[in-house]
Amino acid sequence: MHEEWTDQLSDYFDDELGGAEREAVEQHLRGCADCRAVLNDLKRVVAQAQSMPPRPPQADLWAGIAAQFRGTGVDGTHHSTRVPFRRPVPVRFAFTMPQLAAAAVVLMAVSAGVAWQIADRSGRNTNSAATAAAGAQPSDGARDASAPALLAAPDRDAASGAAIAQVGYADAQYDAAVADLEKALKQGRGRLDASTIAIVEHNLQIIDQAIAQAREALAGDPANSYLSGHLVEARRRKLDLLRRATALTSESN
Amino acid sequence: MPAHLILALLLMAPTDQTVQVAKGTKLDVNNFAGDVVIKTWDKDAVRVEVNHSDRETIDIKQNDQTLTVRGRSSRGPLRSLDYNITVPGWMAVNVSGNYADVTMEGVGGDVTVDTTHGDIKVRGGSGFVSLKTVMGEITLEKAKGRVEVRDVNESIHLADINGDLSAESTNGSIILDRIDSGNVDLYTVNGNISYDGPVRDKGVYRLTTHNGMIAMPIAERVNATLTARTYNGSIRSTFTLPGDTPERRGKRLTLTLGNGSAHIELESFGGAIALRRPGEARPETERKRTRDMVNKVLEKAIEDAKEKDKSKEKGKGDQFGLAGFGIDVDAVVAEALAEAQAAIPDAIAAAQDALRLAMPRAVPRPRPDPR
Repeated sequence: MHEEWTDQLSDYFDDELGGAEREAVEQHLRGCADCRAVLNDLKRVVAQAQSMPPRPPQADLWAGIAAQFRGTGVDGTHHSTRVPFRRPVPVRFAFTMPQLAAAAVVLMAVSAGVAWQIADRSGRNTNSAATAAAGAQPSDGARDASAPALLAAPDRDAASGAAIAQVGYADAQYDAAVADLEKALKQGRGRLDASTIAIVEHNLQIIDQAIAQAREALAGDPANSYLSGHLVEARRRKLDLLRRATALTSESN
Repeated sequence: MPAHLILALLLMAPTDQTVQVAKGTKLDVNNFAGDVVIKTWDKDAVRVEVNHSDRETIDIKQNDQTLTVRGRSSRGPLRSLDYNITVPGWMAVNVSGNYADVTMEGVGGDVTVDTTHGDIKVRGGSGFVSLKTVMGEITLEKAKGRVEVRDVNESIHLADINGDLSAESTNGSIILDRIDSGNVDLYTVNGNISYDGPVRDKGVYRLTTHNGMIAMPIAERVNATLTARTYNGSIRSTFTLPGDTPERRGKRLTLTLGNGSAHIELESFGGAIALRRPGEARPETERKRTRDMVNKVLEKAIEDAKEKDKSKEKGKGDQFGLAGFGIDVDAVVAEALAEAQAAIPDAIAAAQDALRLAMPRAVPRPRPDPR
């Protein structure tokens, strides 16, 4: 098998051998058909690899670059379009996994407790739960159920003092936990392979769709305690999946 | 780089090591990628068999009450390794991995498996059995004790389970056969749930799906409070329930059967809830069983074809070059390409980090004050 030579063939092929070693390998190759065959296969492999068509990256960088040029952050927030030429100080949020996990557990418990209390209250007093002050605003119970929509538009909440007053503690905490986990997942995204990312995103979409359907149903039937509970459960599953996916990024280190 | 990769494959150095273990020792295996097959024997010893190149080393270490098995690479990333491990029947086993298919047969102690991409097939386990994967089917049979099963993108099949049971998937069905449990919690977002087993007095049975059907057997003589709720689906049964009327049924059904001591909660947002008598046909599971059978036949056909190809290759006589070393050049190229692709996300992340440093960043939005 000429293992002493095959060990050197790679370096020879990569042109990393010194003069004397290179000469020795070449001399051996002249008299050894087996090693010449191995070298030819190596060449074939490299040629094959070089002939592979270029693959586009799984994540498109241009969206981020274009957003920066437009003065819009990757996260969709707006900022100045003209910035003096200076190195900005990056603002980063960093959370350890135990911190995230502990926060999520606490928030989940608070969220579930408040939601069930609200659901129970709305079940006992359907009249008061039927309408909100603005008419279009959902009731307490339904507001909990529609939390993702409310929290997905914090600017709208900020513009309305009444809306802020109606946002429950659990909603804000839930949204914050989801946002933190999504940020952690985004930061660790590079440590996951494309297929895992695709699966996680696909399943998050499935849960988001379930949450949206439950929220829509609850908007039409705000006193329905089953729908409230179902929504709380779906949101908990989203937190679970985000936690699991975030844990995968740390396991892949 | 491909040259290094290929040459490393040239020298195979299989590991076949047997280690004596004391009663109570736990096995802990981590395999980044590859199959892990665990079987049992009647010796107080663990045998580890792995085929690998001389670049890889299998570390088998015993400390305190744990025997750990790990692969490591002296150069470059660790490649796929297939483990065959034989353990005492009493041993507790923990297997983790990223791209690991895990199969266990006859393990009698605690079992925990956690993989990302990979099927899990376990027959046995007692005490605490925990199986987790993100993408892969989970099959568990003949387990006793507390069972926790978590999947994300595939289905779960549990059979002959005795003990508390919790199973969850996001995008997959949960099919159960011959379950004997007084504490059951099953949840999926997108998939069916089909239960099979008696309802114990004072037991709690909670079956929930968002988009799928739920099938539950209800014996003629059962002591349970049954609650079935749906939003877009329907509630139906193959028999007449006591006190049931179409008006009462609708989207919500609450019935007290016998003394009502057990609690059965069935909830499907968008699917049907089907009640049947034990032993009646389970059409909801037939499609899966048929698909599984077809898959098995296909797998067998593929294996047979591979074997035939190997026989033909052997008949070609002596070969020079890499084929002479038993190396499939195309497969090695594909592996190298896969490794290169796996590095792409890191490169993108690094580029994005560099971009963030080079370009102005957005100011983070203030969070709403909960007060």
